[in-house]
Amino acid sequence: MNEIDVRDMEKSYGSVQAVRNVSFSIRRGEIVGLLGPNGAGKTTLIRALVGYHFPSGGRVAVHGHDVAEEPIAARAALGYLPEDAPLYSELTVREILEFCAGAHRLRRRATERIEYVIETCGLARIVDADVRTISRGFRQRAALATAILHDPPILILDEPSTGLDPNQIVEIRGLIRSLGREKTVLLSTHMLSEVESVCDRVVIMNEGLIVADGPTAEVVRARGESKAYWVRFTERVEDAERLSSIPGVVAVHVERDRDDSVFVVEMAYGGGETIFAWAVENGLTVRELTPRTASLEQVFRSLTVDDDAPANEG
Amino acid sequence: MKLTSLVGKELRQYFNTPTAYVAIVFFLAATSGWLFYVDGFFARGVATLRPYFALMPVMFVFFVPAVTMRTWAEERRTRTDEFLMALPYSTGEIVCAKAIASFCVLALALLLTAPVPFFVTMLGRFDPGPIVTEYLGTMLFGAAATAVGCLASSITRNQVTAFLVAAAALGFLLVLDTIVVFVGLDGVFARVVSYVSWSARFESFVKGIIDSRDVVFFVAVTAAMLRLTVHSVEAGKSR
Repeated sequence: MNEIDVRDMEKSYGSVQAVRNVSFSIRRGEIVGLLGPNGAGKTTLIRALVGYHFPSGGRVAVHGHDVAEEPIAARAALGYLPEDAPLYSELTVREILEFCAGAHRLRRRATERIEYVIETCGLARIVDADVRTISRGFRQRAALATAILHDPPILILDEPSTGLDPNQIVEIRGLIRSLGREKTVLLSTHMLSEVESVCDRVVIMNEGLIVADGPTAEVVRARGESKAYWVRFTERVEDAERLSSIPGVVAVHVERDRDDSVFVVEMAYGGGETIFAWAVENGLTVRELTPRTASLEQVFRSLTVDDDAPANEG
Repeated sequence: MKLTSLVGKELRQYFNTPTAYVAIVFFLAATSGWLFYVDGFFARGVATLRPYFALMPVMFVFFVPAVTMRTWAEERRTRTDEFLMALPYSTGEIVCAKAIASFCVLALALLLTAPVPFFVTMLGRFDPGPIVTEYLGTMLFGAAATAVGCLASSITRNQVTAFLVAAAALGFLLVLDTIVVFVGLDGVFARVVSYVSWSARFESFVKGIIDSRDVVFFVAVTAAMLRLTVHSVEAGKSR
């Protein structure tokens, strides 16, 4: 069953088309990373999923409920952490949690769930403090606590690591991973490492369109531009140009040069076996041969940065 | 329980900050100051509180916008509306809860005026009937004014703008029939204005008359303004 289903969604703000004919779905139990530069349409897409904005066209469904036709049932099934964790500054964290418990009609479960999220999100120290007095990191965790309070089957998290220190980032990623064992998670982030470490699948958006969608490792592999290998020989090879005679090689350069050289061999076709065969023919012994995989960051930049335009950050 | 939580949240926001306290103190000081110093209640020597209640709509022009200005504008400015709208509430429920909480602040202010009639009735032979109708009229007028204030707040993210728009709208509605008399309009337009005149409708309550048409008028205006607020908030989602 698809927990999130988006079909031909469009959203325009005046003459600006923020999301253009986007379709995708997320199955139960998936942790999906939503990536894209600023202005790619990620937040617009998320706001349509939570019913904060109405799409200009298409259909958006959450947990089997059409967001336009059954907005309350759709919202009851999801927990949402908005970007920058907006919370009521004049209320205490506990007051906000109690309000959310009432909104979700937790009734007798309210106290138990509030205590659970206070412990899970590490809020014990500040739970009775006004939101205006707590640090950015605690506010982020308090907002996450409101999102998971009612134990929703779907979590939509917009930049959950913003404002957290490295230890807190590790903690929150662990928490997202553990939540992802039972829940469907859509995680919008600028942190590519977060997607690589947490998400099963990545959806990359650019200029209102989905430009890549698939399992994280597969997207990286499929979009890696050329095959490249790190090669180290037992014998000393002085001239890197010698390696240009390997069939299929388009470029060779030396990446590190101390006692021996490590060559980066980029190939248009062929592979490791070709390099081995060439080495044997030339009386060389291959000591190390490692395929160099493209990183998600390289894939992200190749999909979202226009070569003719200034690069987008994030 | 859902709606109670939302009204409770709104009330906590009012009373966790000085806004509501300042507005209520200002309201009580201004209305009492008017009765005892400006209007000269003791010097007049007449056992009636009609001038006291007649002033209420004028006070509401400032007091109600001061209470309602934050309802939607502050949510938008701080982006907490995004958090609120993702909870399982309909727009109508949120609009009603905010209006109910604002009205509770107004009702508390009116409750705190109770010592005035309570003590002055000890000074002479007051007819309690008009005091009851005056309170009823003030509450109904206040409910309609609160709905106008919430509507004004829903169209902006700036509290000052929300205050000014609501105060201007309430001031205009209050003096509408006076303007018609001043300009010398008559005919259909004058009749329509007298029909929708808030001050004329309120005047009946001050005189001790409960006319069901006046009650229905203020209830209908309140409902219409809340409906318009729902439209205004929903329109914001489509922009």
